Amino acid sequence: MSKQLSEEQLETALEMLAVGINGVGREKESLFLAKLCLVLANQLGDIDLLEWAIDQATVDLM
Amino acid sequence: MNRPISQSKSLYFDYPKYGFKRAPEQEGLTSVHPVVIVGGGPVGVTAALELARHGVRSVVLDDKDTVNEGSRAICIARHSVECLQQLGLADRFEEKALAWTSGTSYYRGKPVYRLQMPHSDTDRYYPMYNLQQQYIEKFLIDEAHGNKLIDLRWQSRVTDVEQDYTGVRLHVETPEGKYTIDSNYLLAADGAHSVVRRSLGLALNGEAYEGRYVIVDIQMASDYPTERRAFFDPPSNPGLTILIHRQPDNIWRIDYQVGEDVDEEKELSEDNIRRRISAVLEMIGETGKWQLEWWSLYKAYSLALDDYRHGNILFIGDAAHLVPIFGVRGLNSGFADAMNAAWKLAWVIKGWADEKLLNSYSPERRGATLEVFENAIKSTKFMTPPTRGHHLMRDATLSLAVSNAFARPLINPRQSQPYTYMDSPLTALRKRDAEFECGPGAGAALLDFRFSVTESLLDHVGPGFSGLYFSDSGVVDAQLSGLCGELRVGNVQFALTVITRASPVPGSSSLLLDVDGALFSAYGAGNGTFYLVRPDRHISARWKEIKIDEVRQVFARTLHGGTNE
Repeated sequence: MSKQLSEEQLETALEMLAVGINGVGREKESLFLAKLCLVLANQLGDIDLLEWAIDQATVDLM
Repeated sequence: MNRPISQSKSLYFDYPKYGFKRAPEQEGLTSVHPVVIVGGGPVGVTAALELARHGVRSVVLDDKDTVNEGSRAICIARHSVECLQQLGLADRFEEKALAWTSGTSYYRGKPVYRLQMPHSDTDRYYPMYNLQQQYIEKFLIDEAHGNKLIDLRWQSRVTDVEQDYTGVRLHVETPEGKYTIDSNYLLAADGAHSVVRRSLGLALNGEAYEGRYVIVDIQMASDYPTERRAFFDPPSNPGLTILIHRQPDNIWRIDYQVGEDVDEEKELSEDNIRRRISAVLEMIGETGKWQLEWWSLYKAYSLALDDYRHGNILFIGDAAHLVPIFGVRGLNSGFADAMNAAWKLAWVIKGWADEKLLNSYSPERRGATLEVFENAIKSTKFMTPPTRGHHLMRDATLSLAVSNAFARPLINPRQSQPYTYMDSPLTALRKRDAEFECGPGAGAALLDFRFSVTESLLDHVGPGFSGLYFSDSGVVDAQLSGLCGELRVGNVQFALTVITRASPVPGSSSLLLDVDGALFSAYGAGNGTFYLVRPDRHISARWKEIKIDEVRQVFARTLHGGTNE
């Protein structure tokens, strides 16, 4: 990956996502996350990278 | 499953009655017919008319005594209208049909996508029309009844089909007994439940989708324009989808998706349908009176035969394939099948082409079906998401599309387009395509171009093979003139149309004046450009600068089914 967040930015991202999920409520959580993924996939502009990201998110679902 | 409306009670259509006439075979007269067509629906009769256009007789067998009931396939694409134009029926069709170019998709009541199909002043026909299938069938049958080369036999049910190397034998049941009929070739146009297919032990392969739609026609006066309306997760059908189309005679088609767990019988009760339609009409602000006309239940399939040719039997339309309605590809594919199969069969029967020409039918039309599947599967997954994941991402797309342009193209219903026979054995010299910057490539359908209200390029294309020659001067030299003479087959002239930017040569009837060069541009043409066009108006090959020898070779190769001998 060519561009990654700094540790500090990653912490900020984590907080933003948590607040975002809490803000939409449990009922809309899935739709919110699906929309977020689609927006980010479009911004990513790299289908291979998206596939890699999906793989990363799929493993170790405990 | 549908509501078999009493035909005399249709609110707008007088169902014709086609009487039974005893067949010559029932009087002891036997002969081998060149072609028998099983199925007198729109695809079968189109094939009969196209065969007749090339001078070939056919017998059409159908068990009904009228046209198919209900509006069924209502969206007719431009390419299909061009087929009707070739059969002399486009004017009658256009007079009745409603043309449209656009549509709107809504998500929870908000507009999220505007469909706009390209249409310009140089297009003779609109990209899409709505017309009930009964009308299309009636127009075709009226034309066929007036054609001496077509023997339409109603109330004649085919019960079995046999074939050997000499031809095909069909067993037919009629109100006045049974008979057998022999033919050299058979076109199976007997629809989804094809008896011909069953007789040969053939199966359609592919997928069935979960989503079911109730398809309802109502009569209602409304000023709403003719366009496609799609409602995703609307208040009147939460979590599901509704499609609305306008048809002639104040008939409105309302298709609504039903849930997976509904009881079909209850869902299709008249009371329930009235309740559902009332809710839809309330949602779209229609407050006037309406009457129920017809309804049916629809389930999406992507199924096809592995091969559309079995010996002397060619399968066309729904007998060969079933495609989802989203994107309006069913009847539109059927028309293209019929035209493709019929000209090839005609040219083989007339002795103008080698029997190997028929080998190209299945690769071309099955190739078209596979492309249809590719698009239709995308449309179907969007209209009726098959899994929770698909459902969630579909909703995410729709929700994003309210405010984000990037998501809107994903809502495009991908309407029917003519297929390019790129990998066909008949499509030649694709390397020559690289010489062009634009224009229809080898295998593509001819691009029509309107010169006036009543005249377009299609009017200048002949019944057999044709050539488009682009010339600055408009002069046809002796070599090209000689080639046209050579390419005459039987009594069919090679139709040469010369397109020029210069003043017309006096007395030349095949010369088109392209003063502003728009046709030159549309075809990527320069001085000397040549397009070789098949009888079904697909491009065989094209040359930026004509190569007489290559044209001759491609023509000969085409008549040999894409082989060199």
